[in-house]
Amino acid sequence: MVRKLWKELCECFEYRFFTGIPFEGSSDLYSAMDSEIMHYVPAANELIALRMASGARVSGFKSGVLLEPLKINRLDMGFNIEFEIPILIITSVKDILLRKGLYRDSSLSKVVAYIEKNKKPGVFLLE
Amino acid sequence: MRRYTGVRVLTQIILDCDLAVYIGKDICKEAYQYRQHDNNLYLSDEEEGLISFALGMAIGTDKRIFVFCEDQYFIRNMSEFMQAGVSKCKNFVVVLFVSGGYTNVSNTPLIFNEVNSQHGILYNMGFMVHNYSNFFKQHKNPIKHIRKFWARIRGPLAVLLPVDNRKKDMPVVELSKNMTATKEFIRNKDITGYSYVPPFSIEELALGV
Repeated sequence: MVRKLWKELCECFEYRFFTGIPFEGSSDLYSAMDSEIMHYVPAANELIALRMASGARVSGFKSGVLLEPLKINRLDMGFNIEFEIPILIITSVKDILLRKGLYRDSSLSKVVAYIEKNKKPGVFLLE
Repeated sequence: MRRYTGVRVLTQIILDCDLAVYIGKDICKEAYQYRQHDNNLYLSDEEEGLISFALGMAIGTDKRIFVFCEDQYFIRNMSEFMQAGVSKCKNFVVVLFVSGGYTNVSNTPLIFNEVNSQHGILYNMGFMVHNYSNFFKQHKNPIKHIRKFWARIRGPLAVLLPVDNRKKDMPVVELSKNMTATKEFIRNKDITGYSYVPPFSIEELALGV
């Protein structure tokens, strides 16, 4: 199931660069990562993860960030919105208390379509 | 040496195929006076995470990324520098202007000059370190010499350049916050990087080679 998700994300939607911080409920995601189709860099903290993915996106590579739901609320997304850098944020749906104004959906295709169209960060809720 | 002299000298050495990222209001203003090019990115707000942003760009391209910032930015964002150091990113260079004070706030002192070994910190983080403390006193034509060094450098490299706290009143300029030129420059395949291979071959990965 998770392996299929990575395959869809990397091969259909062409997201290749990922970074982030492991969180509760993400172990399946991490164990299903495949270095043949994606590249993952462990980050020191959430902001570094977000900015690093943004930089890779500016270089032309679609990027995603794996983050804990509560940590997303503390992140400053103003940089991405100001410079129109779309980023896919992947998080677990558990205890979701995301702040308002941040697009989120449990359908990967909808989130990807939103962020590519609006050039803003969007959250994919992993069920 | 004054900081604006350092900015003037070092920005002249950057090649047209390199990307220069300037962090901080004063450095941006100084750099803007001396070098205006598509491959300049001015980030004057000094918000957190800008080193990581530059690192992300370096990961995704074979062009060299030069980041210019002050020691106060280093002190506040050491974890970012650590991330850059351990990345082993060969096309990432950071130039630290070491003034030992907050130049934007009446030169109030900064703790960076009190540490035992400034270059030791950076070296242990994973950077190669160039210390230009006496370089400008010893060489009559420093631009020529540094250009020669920088033609062969491999990152992650940290350049320490001690500067004094004196400032020059630069004209007020409206720095463009448009990232479009930077995006176009960095994605332009016709401008090749300076014989560097990116540490992570994402491009090959994307092509399935």
